[in-house]
Amino acid sequence: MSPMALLDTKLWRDLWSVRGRVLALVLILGSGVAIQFAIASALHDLRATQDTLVRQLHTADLEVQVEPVPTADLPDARALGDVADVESRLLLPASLTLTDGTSLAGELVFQPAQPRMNQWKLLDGRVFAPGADEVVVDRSLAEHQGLRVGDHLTVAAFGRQWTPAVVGIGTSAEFMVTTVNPDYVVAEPGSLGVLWADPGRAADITGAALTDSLLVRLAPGADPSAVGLRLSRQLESAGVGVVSVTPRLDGYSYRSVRDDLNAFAAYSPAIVLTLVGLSIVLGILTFHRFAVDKRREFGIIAALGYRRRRVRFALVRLGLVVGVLGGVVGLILGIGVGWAFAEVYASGMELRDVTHSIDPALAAIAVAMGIAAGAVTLLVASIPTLATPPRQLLSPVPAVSRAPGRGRTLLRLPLAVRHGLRGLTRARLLTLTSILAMAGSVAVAISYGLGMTSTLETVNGAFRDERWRYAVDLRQPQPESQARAAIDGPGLAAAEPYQRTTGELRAGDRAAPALLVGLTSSQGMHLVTPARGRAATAADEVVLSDDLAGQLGVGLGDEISAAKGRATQRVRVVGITNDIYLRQATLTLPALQRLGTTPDVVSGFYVDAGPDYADALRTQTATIARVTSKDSITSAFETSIAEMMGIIYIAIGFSVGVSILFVTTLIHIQIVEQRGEFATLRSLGLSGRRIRTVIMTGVVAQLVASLVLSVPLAFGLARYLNARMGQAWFAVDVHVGWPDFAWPMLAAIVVAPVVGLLGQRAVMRWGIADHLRTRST
Amino acid sequence: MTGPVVEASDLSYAYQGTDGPVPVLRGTDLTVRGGEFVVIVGPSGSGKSTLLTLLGGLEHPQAGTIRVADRDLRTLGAKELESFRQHVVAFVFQFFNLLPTLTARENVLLGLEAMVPMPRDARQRADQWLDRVGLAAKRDRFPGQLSGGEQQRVAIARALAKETPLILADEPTGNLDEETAAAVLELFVAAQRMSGSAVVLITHDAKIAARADRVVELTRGRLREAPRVARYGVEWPAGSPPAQAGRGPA
Repeated sequence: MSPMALLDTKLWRDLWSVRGRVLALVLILGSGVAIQFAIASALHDLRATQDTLVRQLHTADLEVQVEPVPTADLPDARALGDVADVESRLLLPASLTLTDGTSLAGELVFQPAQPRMNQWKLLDGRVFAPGADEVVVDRSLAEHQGLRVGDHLTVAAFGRQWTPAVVGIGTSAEFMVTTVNPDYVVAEPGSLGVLWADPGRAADITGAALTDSLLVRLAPGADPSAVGLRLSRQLESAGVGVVSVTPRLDGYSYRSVRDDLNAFAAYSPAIVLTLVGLSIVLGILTFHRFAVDKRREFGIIAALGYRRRRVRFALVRLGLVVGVLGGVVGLILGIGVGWAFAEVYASGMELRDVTHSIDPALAAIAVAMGIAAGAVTLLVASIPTLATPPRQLLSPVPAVSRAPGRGRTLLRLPLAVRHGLRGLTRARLLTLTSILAMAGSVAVAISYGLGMTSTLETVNGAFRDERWRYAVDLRQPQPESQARAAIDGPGLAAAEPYQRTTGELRAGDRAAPALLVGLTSSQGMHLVTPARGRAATAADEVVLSDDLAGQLGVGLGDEISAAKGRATQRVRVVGITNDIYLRQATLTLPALQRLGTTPDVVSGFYVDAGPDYADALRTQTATIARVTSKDSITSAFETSIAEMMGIIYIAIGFSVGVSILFVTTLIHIQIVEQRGEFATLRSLGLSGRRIRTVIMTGVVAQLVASLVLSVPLAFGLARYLNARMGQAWFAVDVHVGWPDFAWPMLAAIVVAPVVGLLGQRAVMRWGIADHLRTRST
Repeated sequence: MTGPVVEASDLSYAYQGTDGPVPVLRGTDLTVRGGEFVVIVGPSGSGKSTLLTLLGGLEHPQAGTIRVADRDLRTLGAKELESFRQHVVAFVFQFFNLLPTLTARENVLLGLEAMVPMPRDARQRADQWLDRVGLAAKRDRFPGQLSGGEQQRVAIARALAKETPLILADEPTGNLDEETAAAVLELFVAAQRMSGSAVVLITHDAKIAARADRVVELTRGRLREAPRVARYGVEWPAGSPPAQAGRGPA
């Protein structure tokens, strides 16, 4: 056997002698790996599921929304080139009244039962018969409102009423995620009732065969924005008003899911980093104590002439094996957790039938991470010991020369308590790092909770400060005086006009689609509070959301162009917001009116009105497009964040688990390290109760110190997580909820004494004679 | 000398080795009278320390009986064994086994505080014994601040302060240099005389053996009275069989 092999054998046996500790390390490292793999795998599965659905249901490459126009008047888009196929359809906003009297906003989609693009999948019942009073309803509507095949509902659209029967329930990629008001980004599952009906029935309702939506399939390799621009020009030349041109990736449903997933993908590394970092730190600490325990043996190895490098390599080899175990355990755990997370998340996003897979690349990354963490852990843990000269390693442990307990107060304490307290001062640095690590493990769990509370509270706070109760969008922009009459309803107390429209912002060679919002005042019913700069007060000023500013690569003071159709206007960026509204550019109302070349025209109002107001206005489908309730938006945001909470709760569970594992291991190590002393105490006749006092004194002192330290640490980590949330989504202030502290702390408070008590029982079971010959000093 | 403090008869003990039990004690008998100073000698691995742990109630023999101060150790439960270690027996170890986080005084006091009820004069007794072993001036020092000899003196004070009828010492000078060992031995013998406790001491040191009332040798699992052997480098007084011998030469 070569010397290296013998060294390996020795180290293997050492590890085997502390296999419980190795198992704890494997589980601790595995937890970090599991969270990393679970999040990456779930995001991968969710994206793949969405893409598969989009592909299977032949989602159009472009959707061009136009003002309703007789289908026969539409120019032939195929003549433009780069357009492989075009399909027209009619989408009518509607008000739905169910048999139980519930009313909600709806969207009637008149398109063939077997469209070439934006298909839907029948889940129950059958398709509508040509010309019949029948509809297929979207699954989300059916599930949230309890609709079944055979039910009837009343549809008010285009100023007329219609009472079709529900003959089928379907789902589509286009309306997979629905909301009453896409301007608010957040999905409100069940809030918008989507109905598919035979195009032949549309003419009966509207009085003519109309089209307001063109679905376009592009030729391979065609540029969506270039084709969209050419199509817009063609339509406008034919006198057709273009409302919007939306590439597939910008469709609300697709974008909503992607934005959500991307935001989480940007945020999740913070979670992974903290947990993996914690795992490695705890692992290092656990094995540092092992190395300290074996210091004499390391001293002998060094004295025998082994080079440090050889010992280091042997430790790295050992670490690699521990890492492989951690990686594999983490992978197995991660598969289950990732599966659960994807299901919870998908259900919240109305994304069904998730395709679960194990991506080999992600699995390899996870295992590699475990291996690296294992190697780093063992190597770093042994650095201080290996760096110590052999002579010092072979000499006795440095003596205790100063210790607390000489003060009068402490001298009054029983000897067992004094011994327990002074035990902590024996290796001050080790004790301090143990307390810090214990505090860190509790703090990570607390910070995850704080991060989520902060996010929820920030959203709630943002909406709480808003002074409107409803946002009423008109079907067509109208002069303000005329529109005010249209929005009159029960309990109307105040109304403030706005204009919202889609447009494009350009800066140099960069362009980004944006929601352009014109407000009468930045401090009116809807508040604009830029994180940087100030609100727009002049006609040539704009406030951009942080994501838009990033996309355009602009900052405060930069000039950009705001475009609406062919009209453009130069504006200067005076403020950048980092709130919950994404892709939004806020101008003054006159500025936006001028850009739209329609002075005095508004597209909606922020309204303060009574609770019956929304239902009353929804029936006025000829003039009112939608009524958005602030309460329902707030609750939708909460629901949306609750999806993210699912994985955070799992992460909290993992970090609490890691914390418990570490606390258990640490206390066990501390007891084992003092086995000789406990044997001495027992040989002196100390009762089990007194030995418990010694152990519990140390445990409680460390616990109290670590819990106290965990508070500032948790705040620091929460700030980091919130900053990452700000980069991924919107600015989040730190908000505190007592349960965020209570549960992780409670876990530590319960676990530490229990482990201490179990340790005391173990001490009482140990053979005294076996440990008496251990050198204590 | 009074009646027997230790009566061990027909003791058997075997370790569980990888190839089955390894017997170390086979029908071992030992009687120690009150105040007697008995030294056990024998080759390494002969079971000396095992015998000591059995006498101290730290382990139980697989066969045989041990009576210490009229207590049959086989019949004692965990609580009674605790009480036995508090009041009947005290240990002195080769590696001192002082608690590094307690001062010399606190280490001595610890043995007294363990007693139920705790002696009222515990503090005075601790100080008194530290004074007797010559460490009154260093009583507030931690073990790490004391020399090896001083540490062993603290350990002796801790054992003697309990004033138990039996003291078991496992190579108490084995970890000390010759000069220190001699000083500690002198102290130990003097202190033991003062306390009147019986002592069973394991050693390889002939000088210690020479100071004993009796020397017994443990070989092949059995105890026998050691002859006046040059093997230990000391001639016992002529005509005085070791068993009846008084104190050895000073």
